[in-house]
Amino acid sequence: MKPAIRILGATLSLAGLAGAWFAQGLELPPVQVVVEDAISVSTDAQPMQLYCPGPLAELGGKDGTDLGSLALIGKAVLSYRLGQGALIEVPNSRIDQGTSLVMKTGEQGSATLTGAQSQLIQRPRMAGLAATSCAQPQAEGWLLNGMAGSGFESILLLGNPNPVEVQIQLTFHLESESNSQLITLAPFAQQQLSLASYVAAEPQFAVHFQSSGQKVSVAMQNRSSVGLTATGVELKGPTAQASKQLAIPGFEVLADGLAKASLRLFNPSSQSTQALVTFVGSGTNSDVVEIEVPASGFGLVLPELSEGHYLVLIQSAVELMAEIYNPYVAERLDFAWLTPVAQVSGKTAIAVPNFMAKLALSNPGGETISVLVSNDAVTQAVSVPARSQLLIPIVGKYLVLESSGNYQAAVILSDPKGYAVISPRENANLGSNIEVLVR
Amino acid sequence: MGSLSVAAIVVSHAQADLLERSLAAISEQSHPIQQVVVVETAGDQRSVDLAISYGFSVIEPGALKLGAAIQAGINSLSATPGWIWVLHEDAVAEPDALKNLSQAAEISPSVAVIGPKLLELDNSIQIQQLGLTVTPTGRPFLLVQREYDQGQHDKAGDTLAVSTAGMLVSLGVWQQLGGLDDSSPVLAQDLEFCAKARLAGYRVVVEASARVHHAGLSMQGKRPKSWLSGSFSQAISRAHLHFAALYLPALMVYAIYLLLPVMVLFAIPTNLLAKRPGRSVAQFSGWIWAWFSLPARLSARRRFRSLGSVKSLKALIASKAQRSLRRKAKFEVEPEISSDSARPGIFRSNSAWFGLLPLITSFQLFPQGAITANGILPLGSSLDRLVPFVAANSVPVLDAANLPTDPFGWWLLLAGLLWPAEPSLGFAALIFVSTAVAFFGSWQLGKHFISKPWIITLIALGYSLSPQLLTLKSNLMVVELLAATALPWTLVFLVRAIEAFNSARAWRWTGLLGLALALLASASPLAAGLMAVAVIVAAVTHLRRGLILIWAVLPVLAVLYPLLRFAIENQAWAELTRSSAIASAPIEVLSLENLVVLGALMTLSLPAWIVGSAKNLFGLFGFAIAALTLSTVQPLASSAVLILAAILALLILAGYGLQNIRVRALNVGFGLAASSALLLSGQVFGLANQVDPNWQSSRVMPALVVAASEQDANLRTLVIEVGPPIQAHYVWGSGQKLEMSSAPLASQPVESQLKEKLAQITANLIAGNRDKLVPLLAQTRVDFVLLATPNPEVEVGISSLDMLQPAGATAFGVLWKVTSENNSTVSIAQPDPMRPWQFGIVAAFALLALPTRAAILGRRRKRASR
Repeated sequence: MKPAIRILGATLSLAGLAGAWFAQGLELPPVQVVVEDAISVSTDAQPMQLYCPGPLAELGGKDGTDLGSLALIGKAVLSYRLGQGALIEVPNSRIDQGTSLVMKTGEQGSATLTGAQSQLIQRPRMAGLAATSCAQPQAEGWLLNGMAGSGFESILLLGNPNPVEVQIQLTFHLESESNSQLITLAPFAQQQLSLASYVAAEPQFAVHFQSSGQKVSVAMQNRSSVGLTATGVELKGPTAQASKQLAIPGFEVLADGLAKASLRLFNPSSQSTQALVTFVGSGTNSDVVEIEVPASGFGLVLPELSEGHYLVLIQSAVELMAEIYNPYVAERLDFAWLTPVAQVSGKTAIAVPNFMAKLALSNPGGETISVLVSNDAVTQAVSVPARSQLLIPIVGKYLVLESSGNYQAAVILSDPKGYAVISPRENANLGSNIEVLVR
Repeated sequence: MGSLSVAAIVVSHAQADLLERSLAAISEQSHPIQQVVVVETAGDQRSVDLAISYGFSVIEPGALKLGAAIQAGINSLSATPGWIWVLHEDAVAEPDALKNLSQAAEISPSVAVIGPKLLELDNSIQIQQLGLTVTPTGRPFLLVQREYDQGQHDKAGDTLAVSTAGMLVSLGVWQQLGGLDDSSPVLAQDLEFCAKARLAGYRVVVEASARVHHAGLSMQGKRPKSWLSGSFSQAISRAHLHFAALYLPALMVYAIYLLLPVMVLFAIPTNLLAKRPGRSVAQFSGWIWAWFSLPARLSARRRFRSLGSVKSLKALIASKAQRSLRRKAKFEVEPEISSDSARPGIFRSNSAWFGLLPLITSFQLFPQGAITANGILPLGSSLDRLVPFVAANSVPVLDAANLPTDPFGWWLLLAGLLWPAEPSLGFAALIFVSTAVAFFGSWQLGKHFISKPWIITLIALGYSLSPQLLTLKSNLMVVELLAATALPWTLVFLVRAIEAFNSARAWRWTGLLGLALALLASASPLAAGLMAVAVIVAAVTHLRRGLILIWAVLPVLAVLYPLLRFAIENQAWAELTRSSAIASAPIEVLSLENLVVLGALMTLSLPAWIVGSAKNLFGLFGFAIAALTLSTVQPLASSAVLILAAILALLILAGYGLQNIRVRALNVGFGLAASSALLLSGQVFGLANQVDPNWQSSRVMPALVVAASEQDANLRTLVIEVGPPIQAHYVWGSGQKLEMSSAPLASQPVESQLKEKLAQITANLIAGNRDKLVPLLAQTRVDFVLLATPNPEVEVGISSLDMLQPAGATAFGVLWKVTSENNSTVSIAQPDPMRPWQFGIVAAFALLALPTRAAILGRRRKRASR
């Protein structure tokens, strides 16, 4: 090849490569991938069923001397609200055992059926107000409000509302270990189980239950005492599902200087995480706490908060569960465990037992929302600012809340004779508007 | 001097140069010739003038066939001779040729036809022909072929036939038999004429002392196609069928004619293995010709057999011993030394050991099961389960979607062939060895351009340990990785096919090139497009091999046919740039690695212009520029392979310049720097960058479902994943495997009435609504329900339904068997009629690629006369 051709070739190849380089800036736009839409399907859901755990159980008899005795005592007062339809069987207003509320037809939602039970008790070893919402039976769940150790007693109230036998696998997660117990419940049977032998004197523990077949009702009753003085009682259903973002409305500092509230966190995953807990108080009374929650372990937050009410927000990288132990001082001592509440929108109904009550209405979102609060007599519109909560005194046997925004609600029963917090749930079986993506 | 009166008839067809030699030889014959008539059938004036200059008679009867041309020559004779000597213009007789032929005629009065010893015109010591016969089935057979003439066959006498080139024939017998039958195939005319003479009671002999040098223009394809009515192979095929029709018993003739299609079909593999695919075309045309000219064959048979019994011919048919001797002779051919043996060898230079380096940098990928990371699914449990989905026109989604399965399935087929009992392991093994295979490929390519083994090794390592290739491997971008593995081999085979010195070798390398291109196309259609253009350019610039080379594009079309059809039907041209659902997303072409590597290589490649040859420089730079330009086209999938194509070309160019550096210190310095860079690349982009392959078993469904699918291939499982939203997967058989993937599925939503039904079934399962579920399950085939995501609430809902029999918790979720009655029918997709052709083409190229005697011996040979 002649030198001139070589020089020309080198120049051309350099120009060609540079040109190809330049062309890299002319990439064709990528083709968009089609995202298929889910199909919305509605079918007839199973008739809605709620289960009220029934009256409290007493271990060891009235004086605590009757070893081996574990019996239901007294009667719980049942309050419920029917929207449309009717119940298959109308229950007594005072129940002496676990009771199902079953709709005749397939209408769903708390606006169709909501219920709660309450029991004010005054016995030598057990005193206080125990109130809880009647919830749908569950196949699986967690109870995080267990109390053990000196002065504390936890009893599980198990109920099988089905016509078939079920086996329930109970797993007790302690600080250092976990152990299991299998319970068999005959059709429509109930059973009370003292947890003393399973959890030793662990200050914190979580109970996981899983049914082998049909859904069951599991609730935990806690009792506390100091010496011979009963200092409170509580009955609570399963806690809210683990989530990376939890909100607990209705937390009030009610025993300032006498007893301390505590926030119990549980991490069911195999990965430890850092949780950010924000106590959003009224006015400027807010606090932020960061705590590490080990894998399959607990975290305990003892907030130093001034008197007032707070919306508690918990954020973490992995899904956590949380409950707040809140002592109460009034005519009597009592306590309650506050459970995270799921966000709802639209219409929600809450059955309210006949005690002095307040509605804690919170708005975890970034914009003010308006909520219509109705009882059997009046309706009022309430505006809830962003990331805050309101406490509204309420009367009546039920409340119906309605809003186009997302909100959370809890009913606080702060009667002079006792204290309880009802965390309502949206009761519904799957049936309408199920989004299914078929592939 | 003999007393035989002889007239010479020279049939000429516009070959004046050869005619001159032929006429000169005639004029020098020691035996007197009564008259010489030149029959010019092409009207070539130069030939005419030439004949006149020798004082011979010339006639121009027009474009006659051989028989008619000779007859025209006879008719033009001024006096009737006793014998005529037939010559072609490409036959040059020695001075005593006619004398010796005449003496043979005089010695034996029963002899009517005498043939000379035909020698190669350009190689006068090699016998071209010494009498003709046929095999027992009627195929023309040369008694002596391609042997040096040492007088070893000079005793030859009686034979079935002789060639018309130099044939001395009694004019009386010629006229009695009606001369050559022009309705017969050209290559059967002399056989038929001589056999007729035999039947009529005359002898046909070869006189070895009569020597005629023959160019054999017809046999070498140097005459117009019309002369033989097609190619040489076609002419042989027709001659075979014609003579079989004359000679064989009637029943056998009918049987052969009836079974011709089957025989043609079964001969295809043999022809491909012999690297003579053109012969199949000839046999096919022979079959068509035979069927359409059957009355003519039967008429010829009647005329032939009317002369006497064919039993007398039996002794002259090629014996088993003669045929066996011919076969053995083929193995005695001395192989020629190819130019490749002069190049550096990867094993001779011990460079093969460096192939371990790419394996070491990815030792974490040593096959341990099915790779399931990066969206890769396990493959079918065995080869026979995998094959139905390769090149299929429907994918097992809902009630079968009319979409092509991914062309990448051909790679999966290769994995299945490597490990038929566990294709997933075969696939993992392919991925593991891919960079080492790329090393060997780039070494083989490099040695065609560079002579120093250490530089070739650096080039091969430069490619196989390049950040771009290692990134593909360590990030399990397997589609692009395998394409980049095939790329250097396609270039190697292309170069080899161009350089092949005989057609058998060219066909073999083209076979390999076709397969490599097909594999490249099935992983990266754009890179294959670039290579296809390179093949076409090579075919045009190397016309000698071009017609063979161009066939290499056929497997690409076969492999991409379903995708091409889909793209055309749906006007979805972008789909042609993506070959697999697991192909990587578009990359950042101007990434730091690309800038560094390509920038450095561009700089190092420019000195090649000082020393390189124009052909290589323009070829390699053109290839690199084209690859880089094409790499901008990535609407759906990554163009990483094209970047690597540019890198490979630039690496060779850099090596080109490097091998001409004479300063040892510079060489050492460059070698050390390059080695360090490569080791660093291996560590950073290979060892330290490897993602977890997530080894799994190749089973993707519970054992019970897999076992049931063995019994019933139409089994369907509804897999439910609970989440927002709930997902319902309608899974066929033993589950979704990689070979069932279809890239267009991502952009083409499948419309099916089944969707609505499955959504309703899912909703009713979750809601536990038995009453609505029963009729739905009766209409839709669901054999199992698998709850893939643990959700006790949903599990309880499903468990409450009595038509679902719990089958336990499995590693894939909770399983139920559906026990309700089902009246539905499963729709079965119609197979694509083109699919067998796709496999046929690939199989044909595989046969071509197989090394056989024809390709290994590599004899640089000329076509034999028969």
